Amino acid sequence: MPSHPLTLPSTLSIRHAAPIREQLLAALEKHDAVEVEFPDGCEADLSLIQLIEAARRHADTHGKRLSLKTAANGRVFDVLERGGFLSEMDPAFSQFWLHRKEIQ
Amino acid sequence: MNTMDPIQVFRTEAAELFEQIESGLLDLLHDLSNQDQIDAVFRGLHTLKGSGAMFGFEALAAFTHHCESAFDRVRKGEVQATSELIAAVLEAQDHMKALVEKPNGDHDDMSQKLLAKLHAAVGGKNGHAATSQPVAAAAAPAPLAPARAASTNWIIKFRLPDNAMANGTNPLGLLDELRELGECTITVDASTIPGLAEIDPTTLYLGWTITLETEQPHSAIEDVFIFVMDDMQLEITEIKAAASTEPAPKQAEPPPVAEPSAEKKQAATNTGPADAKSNKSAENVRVPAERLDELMDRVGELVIAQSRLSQLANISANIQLRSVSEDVERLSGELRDTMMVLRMVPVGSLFGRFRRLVHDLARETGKTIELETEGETTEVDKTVIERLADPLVHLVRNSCDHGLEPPDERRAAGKSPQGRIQLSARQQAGEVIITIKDDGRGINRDRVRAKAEASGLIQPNAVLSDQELLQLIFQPGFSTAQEVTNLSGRGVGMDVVKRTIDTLRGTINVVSHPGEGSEVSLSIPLTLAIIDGLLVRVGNGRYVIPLSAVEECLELSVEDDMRSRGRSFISLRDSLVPYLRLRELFRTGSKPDPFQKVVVISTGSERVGLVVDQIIGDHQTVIKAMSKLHHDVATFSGATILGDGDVALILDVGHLVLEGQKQEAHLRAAG
Repeated sequence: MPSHPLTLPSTLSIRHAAPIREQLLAALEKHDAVEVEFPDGCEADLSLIQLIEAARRHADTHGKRLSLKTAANGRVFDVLERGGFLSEMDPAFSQFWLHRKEIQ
Repeated sequence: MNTMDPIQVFRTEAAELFEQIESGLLDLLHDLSNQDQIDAVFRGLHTLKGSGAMFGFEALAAFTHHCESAFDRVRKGEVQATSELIAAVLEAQDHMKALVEKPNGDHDDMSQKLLAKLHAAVGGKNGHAATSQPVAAAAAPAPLAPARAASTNWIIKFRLPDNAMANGTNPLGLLDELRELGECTITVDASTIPGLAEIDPTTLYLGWTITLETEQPHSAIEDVFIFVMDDMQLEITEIKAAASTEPAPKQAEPPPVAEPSAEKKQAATNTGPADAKSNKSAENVRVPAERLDELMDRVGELVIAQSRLSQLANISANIQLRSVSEDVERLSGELRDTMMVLRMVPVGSLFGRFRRLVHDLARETGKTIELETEGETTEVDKTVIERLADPLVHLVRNSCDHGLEPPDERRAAGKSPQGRIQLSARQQAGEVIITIKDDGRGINRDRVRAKAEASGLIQPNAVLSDQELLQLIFQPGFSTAQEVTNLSGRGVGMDVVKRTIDTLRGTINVVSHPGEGSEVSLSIPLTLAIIDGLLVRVGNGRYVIPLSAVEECLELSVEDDMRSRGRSFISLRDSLVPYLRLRELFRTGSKPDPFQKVVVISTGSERVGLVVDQIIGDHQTVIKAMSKLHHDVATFSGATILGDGDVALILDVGHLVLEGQKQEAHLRAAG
């Protein structure tokens, strides 16, 4: 099943959280599978992680599929690490965010 | 409704922090080992740094970090608080203000210069490298205390308020600070994140559990949360005390929700307990001053409209209209009174800043100066407070520089080497009296006279009363200072004081005793917005006399009027009170009413009667400024709009009393 690509803006902070939520909601409403892409060098904070997690839960409960085009890296990975998300990951979380990548 | 600009919110918060830090530093000067004050200053600096970093004031955060580090060392007993350190931090604080006002300005040179002073004050090369980090370095946590014998393991659980991120708190920054304390394992609880349809994107749904092994004490962990602690859930539990030579801190079984440490509790005694603080913040609303001004204008317009309604109702036979008019009058009066209370601020907010000024002046002049304040709770309209600041600065500077003698001179005169300046405020009728008193050398009248004669202000050998002579110091360009200093002596300032007090419809009184000191009293109306007035008629014009100055009203019979011609005194309970015939003063040209009235007004102990044709009654007076054309008309302090749309001029009580005194002196001199 082909995924609908959704490229998010380069600033993924709390100031832009509301429109990002709308983008995600609209994409998941229209498409069965959505693939999210974070632009290279994008800015991110905890509100983005919360939003993507919320979207992941939304997709699960509505029988849709949400994925990331590439494993979290750069600023997004930094937020996950500093925020303590990588300490006790469940497999689904690890699969989604890191594409099963092991933490060194 | 407009939301406030977050940057402006920070600036307001920073201003309060600066006040708190400055007050703590100045208190500390009196007792350099006062741990409570040391803690208070540290907390203020820490909060300023943290808030600054959150709102993007990186330069401020980086610079403040160094001051915070210096005080952290004092707090931990590594260095002593000294007057040099306090002076350095006070100076640094002025720089922080500049960093808040102009965050993108070129401040590096000044930063380096001040940090060098700070470095020297905390022990130079032997001390902690307070200036060893580049100024541009981002705000980092305070340097750690020397390692203790062993580490302790802690479990820290915390959850910030829902709106934490929206308010600018960065949870990642807090986690980073915890990492700085020691070995950390951080896990996040994301279980409460709702689905995408339900999520509020600005709400924080996360909580954290951290296991931390650190040599730092419990208080160091609390310090991480110091400026968010009031509203958050925080649990810090010691899980293991490794082989330590020191007893473990008494934190073995902390309660589930953050219990303030002794240190935090102490802060609570200064600023109110944490709960009380939360409650207080819920009960108080911060309102920009311009909104209050706007509301005041609206109330002013309402009072004028109500006045018009009352006038229409009074000539109407409609009982219902009269009833409604009375209700509106009552309500607008109550609204006005409430509004006036909202605008009143304690004069202590003004006095607070003079502690710093006197401290700096003492250092600059090499004098020892003690500042005493009294009546800080006296309330005055906020506009008056704002406009009083500059005149008071001039007067206090003058007292420090010219008034107080150097310590040697004081000793030689048999005085204490420490000079004293007293700032006091009290209410009297509708005025606030602010007094600046020093115990210095007093004003040298011979020098004042010589200077005034030399500058052509008075004729040689002119006969002047003592008050008239002393008032010469408020003339433009007047100065008796032998040498020009940084502080004063340029003849600029005292005339500005006079001008400002005049615009506030106030008066200045000077008392000075050679060798004992001087006292300058400023009498200022409590408000500049709306006053209760007594509406009177003189000829065909109507005038308002501020009700607070009115003592009584008498009838001036034709016989009394005839009898007193040429003397203009009335006998009032065995004392003679001079009076002014306003008809003559205003040259109305019309015939006087057969039964004229005398309105007796006073300022302090001075009284004068004003003869008017008719007393119309009390009147809520919305004060409007006179046009620039009429700015120099001293008899009137403003104007107001009456209910019928006519304009009535407001009489300047201070000026009229002065005129009355002059008339009295003239008549007495004439025998």
